[in-house]
Amino acid sequence: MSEMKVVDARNTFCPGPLMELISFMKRAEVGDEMELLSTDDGSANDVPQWIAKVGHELVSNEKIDDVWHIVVKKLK
Amino acid sequence: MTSPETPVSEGQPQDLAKLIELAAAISAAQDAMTDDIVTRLASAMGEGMILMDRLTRNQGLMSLLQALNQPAAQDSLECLADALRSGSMMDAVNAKNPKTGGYGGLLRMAKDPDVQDAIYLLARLVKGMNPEGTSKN
Amino acid sequence: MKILFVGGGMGGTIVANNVARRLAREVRDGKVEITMLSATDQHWYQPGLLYVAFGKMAMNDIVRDQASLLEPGIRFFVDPVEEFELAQNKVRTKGGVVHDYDMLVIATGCEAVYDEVPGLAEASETPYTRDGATRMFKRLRDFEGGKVAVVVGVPHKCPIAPIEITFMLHEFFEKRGIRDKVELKYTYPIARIHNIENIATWAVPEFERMEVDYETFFNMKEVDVENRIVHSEEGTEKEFDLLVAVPPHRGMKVIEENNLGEGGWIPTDRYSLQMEGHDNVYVVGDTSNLPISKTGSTAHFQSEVVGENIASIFRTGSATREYDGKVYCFIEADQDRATNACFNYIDPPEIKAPTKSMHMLKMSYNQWYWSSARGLL
Repeated sequence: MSEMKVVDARNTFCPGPLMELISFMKRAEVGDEMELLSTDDGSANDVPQWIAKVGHELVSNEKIDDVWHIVVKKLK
Repeated sequence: MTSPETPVSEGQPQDLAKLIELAAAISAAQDAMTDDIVTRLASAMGEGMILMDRLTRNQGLMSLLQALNQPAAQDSLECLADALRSGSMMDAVNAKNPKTGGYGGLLRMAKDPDVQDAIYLLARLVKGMNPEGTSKN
Repeated sequence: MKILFVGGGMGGTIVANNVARRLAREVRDGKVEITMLSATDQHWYQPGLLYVAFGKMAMNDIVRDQASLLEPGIRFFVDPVEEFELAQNKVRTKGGVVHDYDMLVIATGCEAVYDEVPGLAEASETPYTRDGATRMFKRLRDFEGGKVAVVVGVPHKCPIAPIEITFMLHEFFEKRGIRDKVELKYTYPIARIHNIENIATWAVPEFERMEVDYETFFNMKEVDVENRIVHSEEGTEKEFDLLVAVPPHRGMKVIEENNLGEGGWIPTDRYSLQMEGHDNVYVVGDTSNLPISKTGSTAHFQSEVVGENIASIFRTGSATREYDGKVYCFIEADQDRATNACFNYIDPPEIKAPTKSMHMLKMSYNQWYWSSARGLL
């Protein structure tokens, strides 16, 4: 069963949005979706890069009012 | 920091030289300090801090300290110290030179009921600390 | 008012002592009752395990009797909680005792878990557990040369550890005179060698100077114990003769078993530190789900906030302070130098060049920690 979870990693420097995403992915079930909120501009590149390397799905990636909203889906 | 308009005073080069000397001394001291030295010093400081914190927050102890500051109490404490060394309370009282009025002063003090109570308690304490020696009290 | 603290580790001890100091008078007068429940009667200075793993501290140096660290007036029981009944404001312990409370602070921390990475427990050394640290020192001492790989699980406590471990490995083998026989390989889960950008920027030239190979985007998947190869989720692999792991962590089982948080991570408000949905429950330290560093300093600064708020709620009915995300971490470099990272929710860390003074300060703090634990420092 898919469910959308929001991980608010805005204004955090350590461990940072991508590591939060990786933690979440480990606990998530296949098919689960997650929206990552980040104020770190690096996330816009790092997250898609990691998603591609590991083989999950990047659903969307957009900046709204200085905050990146990145939606990913666990595929395996 | 001086503003740009203020002329550099004569004292400043000397201050700077002193600062450099101090920095060099600190650097030399750091070179001498091994991790073991730092650890021991820091441990003593840390335990010292904890002890000070405990003592100063113990209201009973702080009240006791205030009471012990009084001259009569200090005399009693010195008696106690002598008694501990000699094993006898009366020897200590007799040997002690009174701070005011000679033996008369000592006897006047000894007649005070509160002082007598204190000396009695101290004598009991000395007895307890010196179980093998004969008590001369 | 009954205030219950669950967890006697770094966070729990500091916050309980903080509250006990603030409300000392009220505790003496019987208006406030403070209780702490812990699974153990010992208190471990966890950062010390890294020093034990490298032979720089003894196990005895980093443990004290928990009761000796607590303010008088704290009722302390070695009887861990098994059931949380937050709706009824009570908990039930392993010993079958029910403690009810008016305010609850959960500080149960987190622990290394190996089941997520097959082969890791068998094949790796780690400074993250007591047995691990003892074993790691022996392995390091007896190691004669070969490939040493450092792998990092997600999430983990003490974010700076992977870098410090690598620096310390380099220096250890240099001092043993076998550095030229060791190939040191560092891996990290994300796009750079550390999650804090300024630390990564500073550390890259240091790694190059120390001839440490580094590979980014390496999330360990499993370890082939027989062939001594660690495989990553990203499809790469590393051979090793000695594998040093920062294992992945989870919150304590009791948290997940009681449905307080997935993975043992309790949903927490990042400013008030209250558990989401429960105004009279606070969360301090590693067990929160906050996307912040899991470190002792985090727990320490959170404790100041929670301590003040509990006291002010008792006296005035409302909280007065918010947690600003403050974290302060020492970073041991090599050659007896150290630097530090200090940041909060707004200000990123700026890393200054390592100095001997900072190293001395870190050495000192290893001793002064016990004053922190008592709520003094």
